[in-house]
Amino acid sequence: MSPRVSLSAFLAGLLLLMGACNGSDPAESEGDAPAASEATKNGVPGQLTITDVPDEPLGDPVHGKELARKFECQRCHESADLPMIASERHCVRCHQEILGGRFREKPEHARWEKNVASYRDTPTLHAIGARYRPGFVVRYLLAPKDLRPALLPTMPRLAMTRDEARDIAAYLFQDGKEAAPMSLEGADPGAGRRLLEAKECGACHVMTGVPALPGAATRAPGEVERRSAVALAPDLRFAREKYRPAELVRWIRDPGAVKVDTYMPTIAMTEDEARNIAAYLLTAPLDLPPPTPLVRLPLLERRVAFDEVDQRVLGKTCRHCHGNPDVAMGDGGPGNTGGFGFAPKRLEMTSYATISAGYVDSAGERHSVFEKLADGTPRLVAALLARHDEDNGAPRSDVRGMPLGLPPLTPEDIQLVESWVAQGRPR
Amino acid sequence: MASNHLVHSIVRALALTLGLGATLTLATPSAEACGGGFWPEEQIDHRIQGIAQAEKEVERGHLTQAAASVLRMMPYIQSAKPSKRDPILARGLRIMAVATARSGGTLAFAKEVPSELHGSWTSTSSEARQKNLAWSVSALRAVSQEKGDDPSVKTELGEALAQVDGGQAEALLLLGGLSDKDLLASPEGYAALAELRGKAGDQSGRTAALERCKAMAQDAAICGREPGASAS
Repeated sequence: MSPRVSLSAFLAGLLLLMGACNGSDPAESEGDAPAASEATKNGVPGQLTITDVPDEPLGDPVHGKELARKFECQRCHESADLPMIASERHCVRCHQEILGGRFREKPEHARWEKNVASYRDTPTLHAIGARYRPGFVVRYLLAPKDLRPALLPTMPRLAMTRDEARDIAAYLFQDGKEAAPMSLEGADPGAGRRLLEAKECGACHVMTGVPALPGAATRAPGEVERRSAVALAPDLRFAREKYRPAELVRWIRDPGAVKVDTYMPTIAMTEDEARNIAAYLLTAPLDLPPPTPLVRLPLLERRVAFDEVDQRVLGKTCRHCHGNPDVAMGDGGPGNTGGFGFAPKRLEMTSYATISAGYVDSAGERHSVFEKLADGTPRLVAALLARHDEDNGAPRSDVRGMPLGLPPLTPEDIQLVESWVAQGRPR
Repeated sequence: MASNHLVHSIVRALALTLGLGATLTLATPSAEACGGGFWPEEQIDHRIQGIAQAEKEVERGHLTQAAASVLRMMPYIQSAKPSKRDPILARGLRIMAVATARSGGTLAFAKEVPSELHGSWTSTSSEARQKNLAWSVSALRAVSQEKGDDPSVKTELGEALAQVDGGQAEALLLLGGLSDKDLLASPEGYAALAELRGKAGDQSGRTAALERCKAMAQDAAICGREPGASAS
């Protein structure tokens, strides 16, 4: 080997070693590193590049209000100017009453508490226009994503057109007071990161894609978060999709002045400090985990009977929206008697006979939920798979993911349902 | 003396009545004075749990228990009409009608139900069976009408129709149509369809319906005998 080649190899090795050491230093990765990497990523230190988020025009707010009623936004969210809805039709209030022992069907409380504990908080619709970008709201209405990692349910994917989403966004933005435009030029994302740590923002928030914020309370898998502030705290990685700098700085400085009913505390800080935090939230490089595609499990060889499917999936998850109207004062849930803007599908999943009876399409014709789609997948299974696609940010236009507004079923549960259908649906 | 005593007794009774009346009239109208507000007594409809349990019994094939339970809760069931105002009653009717049809028109619940409620249900005569099956058809028809387009009730109606004199043609049409759309909601429905198709000479259709019945049923015995098997 020539001395020149040896020297090159030595230098290359040294560089690799330096790189490896740099990347493995936890002190740097959680301390000053983000500021340094910001400066590198954005070129000249102090000049920040805010991600360019496409915006959407707003539609007709009057029609938007009508649509908000049609889609029954007030069944989950509190809103000042939408009509109040009875407790038994209000998902969150009903759950709160059950958990608080105030629901009138008292003997049923104990049986229901376990199931409703995961859904007793939802953000109100106040001050959306004073915080968010219109484009974010429109896109979120059309393809909701899981913004709040500690909250089990998510916004359901409703049957809404883009024009309808724009109208609803216009209605929600009516009370918005846009902040005066602000540049984050000169703000220091590294200082922002240190402030996030010092102010213990990690006690409620996570920020996926950056080194973990310290102070987060850990939960066992499946454990329900009972603190409302934590349940409603969004993943800070979405801040760049939701906020413009001015609105974000105003929100960080005094959230209560923007939205009176927020759980976010007002923490004393200067405007420069708020700008530094905003700079970090809006520009820190995100190393996001890749979407996790569903691993389809092979069909079970053992016999799967209805009782097992009912206990593990239908009775636990599906029945809430595909219920029996005769035992619920005529309301069989949005998947049966209609709701959330959905026409009645007449799909009841309370017994072997009712699930076998299928659903009604928009033309009023009955179909089996086991009918095979073009690719040979039974419709019921396709809906369960489509929920995984939605969760990975790729909603299907031809199939709505189920369960609506809840996390996707596990591969094992899908395997169970698929095996049951493939075996001819043994009772 | 006696008349004086009588007058005194009448005066005393009148005074007592007036006194009590005045006390009640002048008493505070607020029930709070009695130690609390007026609370209407809560009426618990025990039929709700009973009917839900009976529905499960029908699915498990425990027809006699299900029917007996309904009859004890709703002794008037034979003359009842389904109504949207009383969905529990409609569910009771449906259970009774399905149990009757799947039992071939005779319900052997003599030891579980008071004798005055037996009516024609426990009779094994051909005439009584046909009468009971005809009632089952009319009850399921009424429930089906009330429920609108519900294939699970239509499946049960088809099952009952298949057993009444003159009902087979309608049953074949009804069950065959549901099967074509994969909306036949029970193995018993497929069993009835298989038998109807067999009688109509459609052997391949019969085999297909039998296969579906066997795939769905917990106990293949409900799917009927194989062709050529001895009827022991």
